[in-house]
Amino acid sequence: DLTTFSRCVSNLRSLRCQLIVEALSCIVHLALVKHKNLKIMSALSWMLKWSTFSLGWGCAYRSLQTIISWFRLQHYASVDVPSHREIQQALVDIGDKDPSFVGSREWIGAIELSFVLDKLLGVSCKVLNVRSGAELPEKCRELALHFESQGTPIMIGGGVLAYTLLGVDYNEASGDCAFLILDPHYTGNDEHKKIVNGGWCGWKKAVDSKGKNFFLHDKFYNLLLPQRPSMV
Amino acid sequence: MASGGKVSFKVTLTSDPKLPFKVFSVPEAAPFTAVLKFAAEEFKVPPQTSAIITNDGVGINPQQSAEFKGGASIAIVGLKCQGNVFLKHGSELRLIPRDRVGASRMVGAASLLE
Repeated sequence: DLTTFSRCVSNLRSLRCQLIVEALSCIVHLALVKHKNLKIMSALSWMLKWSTFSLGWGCAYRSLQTIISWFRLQHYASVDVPSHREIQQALVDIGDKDPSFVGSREWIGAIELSFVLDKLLGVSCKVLNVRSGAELPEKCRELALHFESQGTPIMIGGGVLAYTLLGVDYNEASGDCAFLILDPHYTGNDEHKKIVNGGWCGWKKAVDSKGKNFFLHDKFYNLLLPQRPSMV
Repeated sequence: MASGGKVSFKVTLTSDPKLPFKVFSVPEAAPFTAVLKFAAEEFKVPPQTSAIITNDGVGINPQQSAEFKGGASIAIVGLKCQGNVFLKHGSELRLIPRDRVGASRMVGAASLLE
């Protein structure tokens, strides 16, 4: 039986099939749907496993764990999903951090994630930098291309928050867009209905119905776009 | 232009809307940390919270000795091949700020788009 979340993903997949028609001019690009991956719960569980432990400092680490879990589920990597400590050790090993970093609660960002993905998985990444969150909707076309060609989850770092981007909904005609965000700040139980209904994984518009900006206009953002291996 | 065992990099500061750039010549044997540190100091930004990426957006770990990998983006652009970093990444680079994130917050009850 499909869980609520699986049903959500399945519905999105059906929606994608309906929407990829020229008349509607609306294309939904989803990292997981493209690769027929209904094991989002596995990737989600890794994030949830460490959520309470790293409350207040570990969101970027958890986003990285979700990304690595994705690579495992796609059989691009066989390494275990690293713990926060192992992530920190990797950064020390490559010389980006001092040894005192291990065991700390220091924040990391997209650049550190790129170093760890390279070190532990041999995965290279591209970094998209925008000076302001207001520029992110303009990047939707580029992000859609990423999901079409690479399909990997994207880590967004900016302000003081990390998010994991799983897909974009981009209307070529109107330029309207929405972002499928998996929020690594969730600290509850592994209850998919609660996660979905609470908005911890869901579509976010750049400006919501109340006029509130999802991305901060006075902060820069770095987006980490992992690249799938070109050969096995 | 490269001369006397040196190689040049053009580094653009992306955080400035005017996109100022500077060209740095460094010895071939210099670690790439020197490029990052020198570029950050020239642009008056902290090197500890800065990172260098290529024009294609590929990140460069300054501490690593980048091995040449086939298929990497290479922009010779008339400059002499330096060595590891140049062979792998080319000479056109961007200096970006490093994000550091980790605060906890409640997303609250948000609705899915219908």
